Amino acid sequence: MRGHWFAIAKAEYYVATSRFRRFRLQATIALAVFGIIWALYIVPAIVSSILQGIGTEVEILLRYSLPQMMRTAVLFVWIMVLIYPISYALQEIRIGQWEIMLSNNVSTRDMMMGTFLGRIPTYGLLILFMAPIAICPFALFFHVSIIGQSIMYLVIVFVALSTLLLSNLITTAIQAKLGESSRGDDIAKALGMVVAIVVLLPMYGIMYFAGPLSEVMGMSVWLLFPFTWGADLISWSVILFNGVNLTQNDINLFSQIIGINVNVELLLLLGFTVLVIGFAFVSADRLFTFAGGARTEKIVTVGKENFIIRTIRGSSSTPSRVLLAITLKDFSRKVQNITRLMYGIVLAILMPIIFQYSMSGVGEIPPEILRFVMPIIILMLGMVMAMIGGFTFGGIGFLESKDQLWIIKSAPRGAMKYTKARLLESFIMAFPISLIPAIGVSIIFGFNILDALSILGFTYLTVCGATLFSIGITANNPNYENQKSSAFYVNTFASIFGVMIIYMFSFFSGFGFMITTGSTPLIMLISIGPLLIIGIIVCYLGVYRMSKPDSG
Amino acid sequence: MSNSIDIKTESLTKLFGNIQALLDLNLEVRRGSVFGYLGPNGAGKTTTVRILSGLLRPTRGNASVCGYDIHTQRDEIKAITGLLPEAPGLYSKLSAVEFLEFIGALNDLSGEVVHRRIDNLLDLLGLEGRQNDLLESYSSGMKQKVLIAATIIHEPRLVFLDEPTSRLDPAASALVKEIILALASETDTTFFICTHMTDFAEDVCEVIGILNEGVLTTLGAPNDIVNNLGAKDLEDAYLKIVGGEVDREKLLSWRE
Repeated sequence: MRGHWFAIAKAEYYVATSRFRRFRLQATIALAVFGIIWALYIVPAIVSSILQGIGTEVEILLRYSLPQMMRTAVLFVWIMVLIYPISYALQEIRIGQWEIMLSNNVSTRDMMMGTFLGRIPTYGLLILFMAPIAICPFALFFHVSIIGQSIMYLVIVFVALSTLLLSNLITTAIQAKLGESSRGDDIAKALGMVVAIVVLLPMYGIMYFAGPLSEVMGMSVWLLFPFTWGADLISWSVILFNGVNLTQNDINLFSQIIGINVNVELLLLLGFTVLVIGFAFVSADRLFTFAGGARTEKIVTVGKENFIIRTIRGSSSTPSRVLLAITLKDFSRKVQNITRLMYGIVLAILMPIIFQYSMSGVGEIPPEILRFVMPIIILMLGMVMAMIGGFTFGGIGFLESKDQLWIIKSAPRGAMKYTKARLLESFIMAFPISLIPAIGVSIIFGFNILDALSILGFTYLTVCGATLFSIGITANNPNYENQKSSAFYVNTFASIFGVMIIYMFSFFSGFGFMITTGSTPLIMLISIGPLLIIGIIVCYLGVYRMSKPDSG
Repeated sequence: MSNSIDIKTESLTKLFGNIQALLDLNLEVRRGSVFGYLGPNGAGKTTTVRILSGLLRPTRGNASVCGYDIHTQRDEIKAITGLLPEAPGLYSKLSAVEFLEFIGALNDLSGEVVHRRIDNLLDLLGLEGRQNDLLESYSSGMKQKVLIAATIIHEPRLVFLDEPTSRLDPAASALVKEIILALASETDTTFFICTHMTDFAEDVCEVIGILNEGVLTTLGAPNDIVNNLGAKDLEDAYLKIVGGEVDREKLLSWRE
């Protein structure tokens, strides 16, 4: 008889493949077969033709930067396999499922093993499609033998599996911490969104300080990371099984760059994996529990209203003012909303900084190029804020689920009153989130007050346009149960792509005018106009449709 | 109870593709009465309530609610009725007071009047100590009480309640029963209640309609229905009408 772990793994697999449940097995087999064809024929054919087409520069790059490029490629795989499962799993707190399993006398180790194994088919396919892209250029260029290539793929699968186990462990720990708290679901969704930043920011930091850190430590700082050991093992496979007759000098050079002996790296990777497995089994009982700790129910009691809410209510406290005050409270109390906005602000400030940093490496910038700097910064700022604003104020920022709609629609002209309140709430919230990056960017780039004010106005109106558009899309199709519903996905994609296309199209039209007229205010005006006008139309149509009774 | 009619339907029908959710419903509900709408899951009860409250368009047929036409006067109907939906979405980040204030504002109520009503209702429903806690920390029964308060806060003339006591404990259920009876007798409020709870319907409702697969099969006072079918009580009568009587031999056969 199979253990409990098998039933859990099967359920996990069913959940992961629920979208094509009618032909689950066939789809999995077809994808696997296509993946193998992809890895063995399609990618090699594409890469081979690219390598032939590009010529010697890339060949030199591949020849002399093998270890670094391999580390970057494996880092990418590592981050995908580590972050994506965590981010996905945090969309839904699964303590209820644990309760069912534990009440059926399933051991915590079976639960850990089952959830891990159940994810392997999905992420295995992901690796099957991603790994060849990372590995194939080197395998082809260095004419690596079949044995060498097999070792390369085995290592990358091994790295991916150990990372998946680590990811599973982290997810379980986070879920256990947040599970029973009534605010857990909200916090989990917020965490799911920023987990990429939580992992990526330190990585960027390490990249930035890699040189000085390595000097202090007397060794490359990258050697501390498990993905480096995997990447280096792959590089060693290329070196040891190459078919291009690498000279001893080449091998010595690679060896110097890699810094550690192949056997040591193999031992380190095996040791890391054993450590993760050991830790997973030892900590299983501790993680899958329900008692005490941080998971105790927390009752939040609302305090006195702040100055802004009191001002909005005013002395007359009319129904429309009350609606606005309440929707503001509802929006601002959700951790995921605030996290998204903070995320947007950080990105909006970071992108121009990165742009400036990359510009500084170019040297003296000619004045005819310099005049494009401000429009490009505005483009970046507007783009990020429009995306984040539309994404946050539309979707669940507007309506959590269709169940709320019954209450809203059962009031006379309820949909219209509700949408007006939500729009006003979004326009109020949009002001500070436009103000902070506008000030930040103006300080960093030394813009004068007039420029800063025009950037603020532009960013604010862009966020408002994106909000109108996204709320309109949501109001047009509010029939979603939660953030996993297909209607929600459709709305999100329609909002993001719609905003992006309208914004890019109008911005580049404005850019064209700017080149001929040299007027920056003109580019701003042309860039805002279409998004605002289309946003108003889409919003009006959405509310009109939402107000009508369902036809079934 | 007056003799005027609050709900009148004529051949009201709703089709979802090939599925007949409601077929030729002809019904009259008098003002100030408590009407119980019984039927198994998927019988069409919620569909009826959604049509009558102006949320769903019927495929054919007519109906008037409090004298207003469901095709052309939906906002007037919404202004004069209250609805407790089957699966309402609460605002988990609001307190009970804030949520009721929100519902009041959607119904054009604000200021002192609504605050007084909120205090009184929460006091009546035993939630006065938790009124400022976020709804996310409420039990399902407490949430249901808040929703019941939200349904009647604007003093509707007609109240649609879709499974009002399904998540309530016996004490809270008895309280809701008393609130319904008091509002019906003292203020002439009409109640249209969808429920599975036959004992609740028997205690509260003056007239009961039993719906099965979209068709209204039985209509009358609870006692009349029980007597006409020669049943022990309403539950027995209900099972005789919709089927589902228990075959004791089958009860343990699943173990074989």
